[in-house]
Order: sequence, then structure tokens, then C-alpha cells
Amino acid sequence: MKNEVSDNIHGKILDQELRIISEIQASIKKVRLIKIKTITNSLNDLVSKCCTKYNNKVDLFFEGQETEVEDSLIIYIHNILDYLINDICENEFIAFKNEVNLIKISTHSDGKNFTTVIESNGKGFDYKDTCEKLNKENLDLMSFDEDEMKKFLSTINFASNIEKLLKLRSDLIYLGGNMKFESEVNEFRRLTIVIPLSSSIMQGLLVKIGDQIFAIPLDFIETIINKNTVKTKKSNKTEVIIYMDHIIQLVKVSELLNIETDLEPSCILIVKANNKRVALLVDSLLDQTDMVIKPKHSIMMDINEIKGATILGDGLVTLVLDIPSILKEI
Amino acid sequence: MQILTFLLNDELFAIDITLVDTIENKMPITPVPNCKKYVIGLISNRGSVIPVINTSLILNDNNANNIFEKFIIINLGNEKLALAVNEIDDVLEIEEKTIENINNDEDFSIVNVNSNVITLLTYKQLKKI
Repeated sequence: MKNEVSDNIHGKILDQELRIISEIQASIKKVRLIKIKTITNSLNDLVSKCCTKYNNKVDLFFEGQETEVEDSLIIYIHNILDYLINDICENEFIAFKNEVNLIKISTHSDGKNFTTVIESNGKGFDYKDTCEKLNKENLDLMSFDEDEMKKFLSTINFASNIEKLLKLRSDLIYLGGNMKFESEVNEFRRLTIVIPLSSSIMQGLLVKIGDQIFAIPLDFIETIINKNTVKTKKSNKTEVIIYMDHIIQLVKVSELLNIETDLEPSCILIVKANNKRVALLVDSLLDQTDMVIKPKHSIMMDINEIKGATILGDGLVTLVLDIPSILKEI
Repeated sequence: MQILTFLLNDELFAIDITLVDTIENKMPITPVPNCKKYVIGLISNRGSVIPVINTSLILNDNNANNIFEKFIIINLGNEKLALAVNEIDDVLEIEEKTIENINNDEDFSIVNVNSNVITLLTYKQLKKI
């Protein structure tokens, strides 16, 4: 009886604490919001620069300037729009001599997702034809793999900044965003980009490898299994496990990251990204935590396995693994 | 011009004080796998994550087994870096014209303060990291 009462009190306190935490998170997010119209001037400058460069006349319409986004995202969005506008001026309008060249950018946010649509009335491309060529039902770029993406971008003459668009796509995969093209020949070309706003705080699982701790975003983890309950099999020098009738390649994270460890790995995490599954072998699991991912320093840009770092409650820096790029490399 | 001098393997080095953000005591460092050799790891400082540089390795000194006691956190453009050093020495006032280049190498400059030779780390040199 006594126990029941104290459990109840604990539950109440816990509830209250969780409520306070979510309130603090909400207000922190609010403080960091900036209106998107801060980048309008710079985009206007860019358009007029492009006009002189390619010798044509372009009008820019910017809808939804009151939309609020996180300050860290605003430069990011600006950069995306920057090279998209460049590309439109270079490829779309030059090839299709229009009397009035229009670029329409509209942004809106529904609290969860930030959506930006960039539309131009240039040459465009044949939507159905392109879909058929690529064997796709629609041009939702998230379902493409890298080669398909490159092929698609070259068919629609998006030549100037393929690298940047690929980078944007891999970022969006990580954040859980979306991007898709729509078009009609000689009418319009529209690119819709959806960026989730809550991206800055995400849930992560802390794992131990050797004497180091790493975080893995929870969104990519499909299941966690005990190593002793599955049998590993060898096929052509690579180890695989069979899980729910799937054959999944087993990867030792310590070997991937060149970490020396004496411990026997005890856990297998099955991670999934881009419709590909891999089983990661880690030494042990520690905890689940909320984390804010901070971008990599330029000095670490060539390390693909790591997405960024996060500072945990104890003040220590913990590295966050980049699951999609690890899967790509394997 | 003011410079901050620090000790590395009993040799004096200096850095322009306008580049320096803060000086921190040593703290736990998170190592980064597969990273460049001269990066020891990451520290957190006032909410940002900063890479720590093994200063003796970028100064072509191969004695890498130093015991680093202090971190000099510097501003390089928009980013910060922490230089791991043995000990902080002093802040000195020098005349800019006393800075001399050796072997006509613009990146490698020294100053002579009271017959003590100090190697000055320049912005250019640090930017290369």
C-alpha cells in the first residue's frame, strides 16, 4: 500500500518535470526564430546580379516573408535559394526566351515543417517523359539513389550545382525532410523543399565503442538485438546475420572508426536508411537522450562517418554518427 | 601590438592577442576517429564545440607526447580553434617593426624581446590548419 502511494507521487513529479522540460524546449525554440524576410534584400541583389551576368530580365516574387524559422536554418535556406536562382537564370531562361521571366519563391511553416517552393516560368521539362525514363512514378527525390539523382539532374539540364543539390538531399534525408520537382514543358518548373523544424532537437541512443561514447539518432534504428540470440554466418569473407528472413551485413563499428577495443561486442543495432539495412556491432548500450546536433567544424569535413557533435548533460562532447553516409560507404 | 607568449617543449612561442578569445584550463577531450593527426579531439566551451589542435605537431616538432595544461581558444574567421600548449607565459608589448621573417618566408616570423627569441604564430599560418 505504502509503495503504491509513493509510486503515485513519483509519477506525478515525473510528469511535472517532463512538462517543464517540454515548456523550456518550446520557449527556447521561440527565442531562436527569425523572420525569413531578412534574406529578401540579399536575394534581390542576387537576382539583379544574375540579370546583368546572363543579360536578361528577371522578376523575383517572394511570398510568405513573415514566416519564422530557426536562425541556424536561415543561412542554410539562403544558400539553397542562392544556387537555385543561379541555376534558373543560367539554364531555364537562357534557353527559353521569355518576355517576362518570373521566379516565385513562397515559404510557409506549419510549426512542424518549413516548406519553400521555388518556381520559374522558363523552359521546364516533360514531367511524364522524365518519370518514364527513370522508371519512377513521381519525382520525389528522396526515393532516388545517387546515380538516379545524377541521371535525373542531367536530363533536366540542372548542370551548375549537382554537388550542392546532392548535399542538400543527403542533409534532408538526415533531417527527415523532402524535396520534389514538378514541371511542364515551356510552362513552369517547381521545386518544393520541406525541412522539418524540430530537427535541431532529436532523440539519440548512446552507445559505447571501446572507451568512447557515440550517439546514434533514434530515427535510423530499426531494432536492437542481443548478439547471443542470433547466429552470424560468413559469406564471402563478410559476416551476415539473418533477421526476420532478411540477410543483413554485419559491420563492426570499432573497425570502421579504427578504435581499439578489448571488449566483446554485446549488441547489434539494425539501422536503416535509403531502404538499406545494416547491422552495427557495438560494445554496449548506455542510454537514450535528447540531443542538439552541432555542425562539424571545417577541420573535420572529410570525416564522413560523423555528422556532428552534441554536448550532453555532463558537459562532455559526444560525436553523432552519420548513419546514411556509413551505409553508403559499406 | 600585444602578443601572448606560451611555452611548448621549453621553447617560447607567441600569438597575436587580438586572435585570442579565451584561455582555458585543461578539460576532458573527446577524441575524433579517422581525423587529421594534429587534431587531438573536441572540447565544449560556452555551448560550442571546438577542435583541439596539437600545437607542437603543426610547428613541425615531432615530440607529440606533450602534457598539455592549457588551451588557448582562438578566433579564425567564423570558427574557433583551441591550441593545446604546455603553459601560458606572459603578455608582451612589442613594436610591429621588430618582427622579422626568416628565410624570406612570410609565414615564419620571429621577434626578439630582451634577447629572447620568440616564434610568432601568424594568422596566415593558423588559417592553413
